[in-house]
Amino acid sequence: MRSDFLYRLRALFRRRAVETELDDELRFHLEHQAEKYRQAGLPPDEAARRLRLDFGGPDQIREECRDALGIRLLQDGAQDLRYAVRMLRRSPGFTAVAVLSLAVGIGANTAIFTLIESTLLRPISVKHPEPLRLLMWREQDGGWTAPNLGYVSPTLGTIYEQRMKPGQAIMHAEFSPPLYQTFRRDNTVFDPLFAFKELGRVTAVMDGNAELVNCFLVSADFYRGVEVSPVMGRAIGPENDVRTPEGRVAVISYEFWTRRFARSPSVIGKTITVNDVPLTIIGVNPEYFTGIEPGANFEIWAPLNLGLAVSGRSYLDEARVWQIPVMGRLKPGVSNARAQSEMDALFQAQVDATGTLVAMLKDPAKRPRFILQSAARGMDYLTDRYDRPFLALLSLAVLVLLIACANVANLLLAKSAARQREISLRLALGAGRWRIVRQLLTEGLLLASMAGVAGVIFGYWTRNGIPALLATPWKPSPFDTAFDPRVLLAAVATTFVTGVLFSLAPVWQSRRVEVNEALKEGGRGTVSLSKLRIGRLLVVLQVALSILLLAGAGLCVKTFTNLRNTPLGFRPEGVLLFTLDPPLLRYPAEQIGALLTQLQQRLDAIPGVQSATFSVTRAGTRATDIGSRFFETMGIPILYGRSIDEHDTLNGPPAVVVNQEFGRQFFQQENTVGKTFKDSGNVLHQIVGVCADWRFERLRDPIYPTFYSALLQSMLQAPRNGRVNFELKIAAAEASVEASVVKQIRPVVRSLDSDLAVADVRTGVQQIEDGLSQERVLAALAAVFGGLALILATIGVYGVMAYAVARRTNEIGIRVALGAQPGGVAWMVLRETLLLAALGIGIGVPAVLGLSPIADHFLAPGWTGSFLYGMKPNDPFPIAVAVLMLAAAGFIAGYFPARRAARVDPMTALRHD
Amino acid sequence: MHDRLDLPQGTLDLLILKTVALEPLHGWAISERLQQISREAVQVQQGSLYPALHRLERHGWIKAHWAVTSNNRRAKYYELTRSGRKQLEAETSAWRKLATAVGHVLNLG
Repeated sequence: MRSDFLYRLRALFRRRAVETELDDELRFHLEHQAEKYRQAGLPPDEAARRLRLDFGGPDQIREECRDALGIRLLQDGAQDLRYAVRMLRRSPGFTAVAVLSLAVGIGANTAIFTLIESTLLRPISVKHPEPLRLLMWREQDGGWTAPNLGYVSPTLGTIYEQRMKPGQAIMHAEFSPPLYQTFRRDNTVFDPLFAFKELGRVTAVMDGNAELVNCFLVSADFYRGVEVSPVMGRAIGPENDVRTPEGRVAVISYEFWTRRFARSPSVIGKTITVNDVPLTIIGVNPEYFTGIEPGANFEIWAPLNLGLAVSGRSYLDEARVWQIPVMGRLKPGVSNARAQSEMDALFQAQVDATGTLVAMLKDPAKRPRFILQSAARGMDYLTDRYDRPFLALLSLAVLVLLIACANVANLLLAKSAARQREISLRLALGAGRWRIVRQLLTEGLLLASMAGVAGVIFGYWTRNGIPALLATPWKPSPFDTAFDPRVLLAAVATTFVTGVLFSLAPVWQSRRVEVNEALKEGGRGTVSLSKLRIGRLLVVLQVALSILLLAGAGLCVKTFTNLRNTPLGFRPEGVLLFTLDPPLLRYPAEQIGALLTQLQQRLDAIPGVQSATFSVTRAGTRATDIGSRFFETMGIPILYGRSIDEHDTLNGPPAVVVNQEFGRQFFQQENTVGKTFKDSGNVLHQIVGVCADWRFERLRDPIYPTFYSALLQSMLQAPRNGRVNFELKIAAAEASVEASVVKQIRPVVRSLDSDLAVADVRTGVQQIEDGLSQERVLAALAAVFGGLALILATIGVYGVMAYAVARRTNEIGIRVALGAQPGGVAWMVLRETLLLAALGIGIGVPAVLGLSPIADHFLAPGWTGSFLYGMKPNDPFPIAVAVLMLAAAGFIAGYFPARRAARVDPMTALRHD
Repeated sequence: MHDRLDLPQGTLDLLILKTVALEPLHGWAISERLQQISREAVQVQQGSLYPALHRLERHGWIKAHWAVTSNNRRAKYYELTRSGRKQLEAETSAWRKLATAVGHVLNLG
């Protein structure tokens, strides 16, 4: 098959050489044959006669040989193409509309597929990721679970949990130190098995400059496991994963090396202080290696055993802390099933050894299951977070493309109906039906290719649009929209499929052309009406799909505005926020209060700042430790009692403020001033004030009962996870004031401690907007796509009706001549248009009602059961708006053809033919 | 010449394959050999030989190369390929079956 194709290609492109060879060959034969006759004693003229008789005409033979060479098909193809180009150039308006609408559809799909490819499909950047496996276990619904679980990615901020929806099992990717050690010691299927831990943001000081960077901890065999070797220096190896000075080393990323060290080779051996722990740089990662978490970048790579020193948290020492992710590289020849069963046995034995929730472990339905997962995507936070919204966007884009296809099919249909005479003429002259079909397909594919090229360019331009809407402004974007060959491949495939798809209609129609009949009709018959049936079907389909898109857009937009209008309970305008991570080594619990109060005073003194405060969320609880004037700064009303102020120090009685919900849930009343309660750490608190319910980050969540204690009082008992938020209320929410304050923040912090790095400077409004990014993207794109669908559907309806009127000029002329009123004629056309729209609406509305609950459930974030906010999937309002818009579009699309029909002059119309 | 047979449709390919199965030959030699081994009984329109050769080459059953003949002329030689040999075997047995079947039918009459 392949050789056959190559042979034909050679015949086509090395035409001259092939022809010469053929001539040589034939001449050789003729000379020999002539020689033979001469030797047989024939006179020359008789020999020549016999020769011609034997051989036939040389030209004819050449033609037959060419046929045998198989270039006929390709030559015909070239002819088809030339013809198609001529056809398209003859009607530039049609070509422009068709190419443009398809290009928009293909472009939208390309842009979204670029995003899907880079965010959800691209494997991690290691050389051979196939044998890598991520070790996981599944918690049965309501079954046994491990203590101290929860792997929060500090960089990407998502809990690694798959499909955490009600009634579904939860997947975990972290294990306890004894399990990790057992796996490493006893397994025979992996070589090597390695652990790692994302430490997140750390303060790195080099040459007196502090910077917040991301740090990733890796076990002794990590670099061997991922098969990455540094471009300079050496990797972290077994000798480094210790708690002796040999373990105080770091490998830095290529990007960090370039940014901070200008790729200087002298970086090896330099000291970098990470959270006050001095580390020696021993290597630089290769440029391609960005880690094993898609979407995240880590500047500093350090041994796993450094975790305790650098973060104060221990993953490796406490048997009851399940926090270590583990990966392994399958040994050659080991099957997945064997590895699974061996690791499962090790896992189950160790689970029994924990001795927790023993009763549950006896019930097979409640025992956890061990699972080996492909690690081609590494620790994949992105998929969980973005697969559903991106798939939703892709389906919207596919719908737009389908509508565009229907549109082009319709336009082609109208054109090919006009060409029936030409087609039947060609059939009469002996063209095969296959040849006609091929001609129509060539035209379709040519259109599609033009649109494909335009679409890819369009998609390339807009590929950063969605990431820009989704990314958090003050954080590095997890999206990489580098164009991949796979995207191009997908675009080509899309183009081809659409080309074939919309060529089907005219091809189907050409199937029914009867040679004699069409020629007899003289190309302007009465049959055209019945032949428009496919066209009408397509228009109805378009309207139905448009209803689907528009109603979906309405639901998304309404959800977005509902979320934005959720009462926040505070004023985000004029609030500035930033984050500090004071290292625990430098600032232990008893000193953090002094640092923060001092900083608070200096921030207060910045011109333009009305008040400054700080807050720390306690890990794993709904308690927040705050500085004085927190509620005043944030603009949260105190409803009863008082706020936390500067007198609430270690010397004063312990005071907390609770929110309204706290009182409602625990005391059945809102005014809880004077009441006391104990927290989970058995500390007694007295309520001195009640603040209004407010929310900041998760607008969809209900208001949780929360209490706020004075950090100066609680800092000694409450475990701190390092991060401190600062909140500043500025005098005027103007950009200029904002900018001047922001400029002051860093110098003020540095004046207190030059090794403290300021991060995440943002406004309160930005913070809230960021929480709505997914909803905003869906609403924006659905609205744009809905608008496109509306325009395309209008063009589609208009095209079909305008064409019908043009074809029926004759008939209309007769009607008018026989006494029909212009109004009646217009109504006849308009009625038909509205009927088509009504049919489409009649199909579209039930489709919306059927599909929207499914889509709503599909898109539901986290453990909520619904994506829509503040309404139900069958909310009549967006559906009604969509119906009205399409009815209006149908009216507009029908109005102009109807007016034309009404103005038909019977005399001209009848003479017309 | 009058008692020569016209070749049944499709059998020319089979005869060509058989002819080049022994050794590589150029077009004229193939036509000569065909007439010899069919004892001059088969009429091969020499002109139809070349399209057939090109068709067989495209299918990959024979391959061609240019070489110098014994009297120092350049000629295009054709030889059987591996897949050509398979094709030859398949067509030979198909032909035998057909011939036997037709023979049976004729004997019945």
